[in-house]
Amino acid sequence: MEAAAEVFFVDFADLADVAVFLLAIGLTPLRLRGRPQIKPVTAICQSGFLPHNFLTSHSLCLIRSVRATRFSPYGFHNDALQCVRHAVVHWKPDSMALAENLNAFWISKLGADRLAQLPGGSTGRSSLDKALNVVRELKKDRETLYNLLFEGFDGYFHQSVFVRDLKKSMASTLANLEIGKTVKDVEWWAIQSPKAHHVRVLAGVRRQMQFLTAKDVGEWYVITIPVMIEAMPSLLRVRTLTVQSTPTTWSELLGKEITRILTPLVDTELHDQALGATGVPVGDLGEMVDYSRHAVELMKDTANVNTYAGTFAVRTVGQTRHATGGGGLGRKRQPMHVVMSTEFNELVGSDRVRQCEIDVQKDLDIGLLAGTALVIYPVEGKIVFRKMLSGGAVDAFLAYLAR
Amino acid sequence: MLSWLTWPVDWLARKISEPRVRRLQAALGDERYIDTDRWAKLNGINKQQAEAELEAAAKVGLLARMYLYEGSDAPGDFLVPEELLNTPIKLVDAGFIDQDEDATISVSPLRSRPVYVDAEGQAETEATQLAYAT
Repeated sequence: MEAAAEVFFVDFADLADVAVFLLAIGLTPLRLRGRPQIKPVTAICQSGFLPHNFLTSHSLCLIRSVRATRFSPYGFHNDALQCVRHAVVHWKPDSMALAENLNAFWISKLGADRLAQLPGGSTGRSSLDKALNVVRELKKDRETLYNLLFEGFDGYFHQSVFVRDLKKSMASTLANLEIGKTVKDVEWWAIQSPKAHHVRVLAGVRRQMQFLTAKDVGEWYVITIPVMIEAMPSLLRVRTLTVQSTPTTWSELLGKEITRILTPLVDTELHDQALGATGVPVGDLGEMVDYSRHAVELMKDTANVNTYAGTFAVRTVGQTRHATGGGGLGRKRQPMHVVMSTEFNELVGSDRVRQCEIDVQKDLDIGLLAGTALVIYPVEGKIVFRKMLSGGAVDAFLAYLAR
Repeated sequence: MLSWLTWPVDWLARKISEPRVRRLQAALGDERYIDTDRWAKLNGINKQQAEAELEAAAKVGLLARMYLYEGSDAPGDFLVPEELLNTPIKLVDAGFIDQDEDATISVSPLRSRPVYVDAEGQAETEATQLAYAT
């Protein structure tokens, strides 16, 4: 049993605005056990529960409808403060601007041609500027924004795809998720059903990330990453968007100079969190699909596919890895089948491949287009699409694997 | 009423399973674990039957169920006892001695798969060492 509270934070330009706001809303709905609970956040902060660097000088914390359903030896007040602490950690004064920047960053991956077809997408210098205009234009049209994210997942986004084998379809479970609701820091954004028994849910998964600023201060931010859960008969896919983890990118997104990312985003954690929020018991979430056979087939197609590295199991007792050296200085990295043929044959002779890095040289009829770079983790049922793709390739390849 | 029946049923199950498990141990040699796919292949049975047999052997104490973690964030795969799932595990405790002392991995049931190890030899396995170390 947990305590629950609705907590609001309001950021004011100055104290005169605070007075106007309080007069406008009145105190009635903001009571806790009969006492008004409007406190400057700084006052709560002094109780020792809250990190100081989260606050601005004119922020108010408004607590409404606190329910303490758990008996606590520290009393009701402590439960309320825990709720406030939780809420503060999930809040930043500039969170709206950050959400806009992040959405624009994802949308920019659709490319200049696609952006030009969207409202506001033809003005601005860089792709990110254009995408930011699109996001601002779509501020009140979340449905279109989410459709663009679905489109990105279809073939434009760098992403990690996890595939699980199900005994019973999860399509109806996903179809019944409440859009707009947040569960375990996962907000269900939108739902699509492209065909019968195929349901796709777009979710925003919230993670806390810490960055080191140019002033050597560690700052926490709540970052919402789009994740798509997709259910088909006997298959479940979780597709997590990957973010370039360079301080330059994050400086642009946060609007602040970042020198280091202290807590990277991990795709497996996003996967676990998204599935956990569905409320489906672990036992009903199936097993990871083993794509070793598919990976070996792909690597054996040496006329069209280059393999640069691979890790495979040695019976059940261990593993071994072969990799070609990096190129550099204008020289291309050599594929394994050319310069390490004995080791390459060992790799494609294995029935349990843990990881392989491949590069597609020509368009393949299994959906992969020339120039696509993939890292496959076959025993984990995980495929990471690394290089920018040109629309539809991700979905087409996943459809081939599903067959 | 049923409790007095428990031990003869267990004893009988153990007697029936034991020769089969001994044959399995001989067939596997130095393999570290067995999973349902391999057990099904070895015996020419389907996966559900294999799972039922391995679970039965685990129930009578001949095999022990562990979770195999093959995540790419670990330097190699390792076995985790059920009770240590979702808790931080030090990589050095799993036998990866070249790793940072404090480097940990939390293994979720979603990112691992059940396998079976010889329960008698369990005291010597890395998984038990892991259980003691953590």
